[in-house]
Amino acid sequence: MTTAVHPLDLAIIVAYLGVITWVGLKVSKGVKNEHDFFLAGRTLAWYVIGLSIIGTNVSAEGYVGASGGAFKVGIAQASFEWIGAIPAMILASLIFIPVYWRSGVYSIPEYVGRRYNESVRVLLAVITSVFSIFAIAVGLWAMALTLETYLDWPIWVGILVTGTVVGIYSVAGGLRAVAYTDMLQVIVMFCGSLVIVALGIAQTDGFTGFAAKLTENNPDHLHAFLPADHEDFPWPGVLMGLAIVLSPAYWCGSQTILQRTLGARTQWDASAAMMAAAFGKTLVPLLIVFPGLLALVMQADIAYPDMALPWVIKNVLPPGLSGLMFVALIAALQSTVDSALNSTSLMITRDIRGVLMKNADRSKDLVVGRMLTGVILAVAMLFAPSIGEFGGMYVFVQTLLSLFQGPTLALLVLGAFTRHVTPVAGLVTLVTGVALSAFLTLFDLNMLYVAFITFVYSLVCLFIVSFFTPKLPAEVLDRLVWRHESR
Amino acid sequence: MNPADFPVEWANWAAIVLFVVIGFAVFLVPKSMFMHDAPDQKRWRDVRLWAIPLVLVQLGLYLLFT
Repeated sequence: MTTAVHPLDLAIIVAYLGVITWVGLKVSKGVKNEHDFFLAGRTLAWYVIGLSIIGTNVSAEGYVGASGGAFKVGIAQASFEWIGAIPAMILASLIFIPVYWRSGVYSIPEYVGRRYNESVRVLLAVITSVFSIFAIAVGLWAMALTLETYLDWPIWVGILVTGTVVGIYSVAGGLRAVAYTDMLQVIVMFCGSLVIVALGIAQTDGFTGFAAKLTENNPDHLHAFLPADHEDFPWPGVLMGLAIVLSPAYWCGSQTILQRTLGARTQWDASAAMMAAAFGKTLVPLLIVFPGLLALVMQADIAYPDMALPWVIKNVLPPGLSGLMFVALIAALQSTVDSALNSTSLMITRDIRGVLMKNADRSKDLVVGRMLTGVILAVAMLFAPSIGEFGGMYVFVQTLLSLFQGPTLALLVLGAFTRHVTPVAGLVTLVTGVALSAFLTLFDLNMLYVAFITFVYSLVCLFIVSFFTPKLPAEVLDRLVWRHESR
Repeated sequence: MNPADFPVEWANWAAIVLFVVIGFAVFLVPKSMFMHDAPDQKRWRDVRLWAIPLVLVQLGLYLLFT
């Protein structure tokens, strides 16, 4: 499928990379300490954070995968993003962000560490960091593969170019550079996706014609949910596992997502940013699943669903606009990778090094954070070309992370809402909850149901064990627990 | 009735009920939780009000794609 690079495509890609690097470096000035590097000196406005949240959430492989998913199951793919995000984002905006903000933490593991104990903090930070490094490598590899297919760039060139651009501004500017470049990247992503939608609708006799052709051979492709006996996404599992557990665990507990809200100039900006991002999260799924539906309507002859987006780029977009779409994909990749880099660097610097090396010089956190950002990126770039060989390990780490979701959410929910739960109960719940998740995966049970069962178990365990173990002092809890009258 | 036989329309109705509940529940959160350090106290800054159009759009989507 390799084609000659149209000069206009190449010009757009080079111009984009140049602008992003320039903007990233421009906003990097003034980073004087770890507070500036990890939390942008708490200067970020709500609209910057809101767009950055969307950019961090939509990854390049997620973009390709969402189109492929829509080709296979239709609009239900977008519905996973609505029911699987909006309620949790509202919860994060109004409840969890105010709680985290008031506690004055740098990270979610730090909050959990203060609410429970340092063991829980380190455990969460380690598993999340390992997963992030793999995720960065996968993102770089997926992007390099796309660039190789269409622009004939060798894999290592794609990894080197995209990785270097991200590295320059992430190391120099930390969260502030990440957030501002994310904002531009999301705007590019929106524009690129809107062009595909406009051209696609135009080629299929308007929206009515598009919908008629889509449902002609695929009558279920405009249903928001899949049948209850669906192998991968049965609707009861989507509601219980995704909407009630996995989604809140992500939107209310992911360091990569929430770090920019902790860097807001006011708590109001932080809450408003998440609510604004929820509007974007409503629109984005429609944009990123559209290429998959379009490929179906245009009866694309593709070997597997994930080829839907590449097929549309090749067959629908005229020369020149393909470059815009590549840029949208690169933007999706970079906005996810830079955020993961910054948050992983933060967790290793403060939640792992800071706890395990009590005598470490905290004034060196900025230097250590910058160095770690570079090292993490270098490791991911080295891993990326051989990600196929490490694919099994990535799946293993991903599964390991998913085992934590139910117990972690229970710790966050009861920890933030009640003064009843105790540090010992937190550790017991995390260990036994993860063990229960691992045990349930031995059976032929959908992961969505596993998440729900372990969440319910963890709530009960945390609540009961707390009756028999010592609580934190009241003055400590005052800063860590949601209060109706709280400020 | 086997859970695997539950009609798919129930999912849409469950989602609609969930969003209606959220639409009302947001007003249980006091304004002081997120407004105390806002640059001013203008009405548009009440993020609970932002949740209303957000919820209405979700209701529209789940009614449309039944």
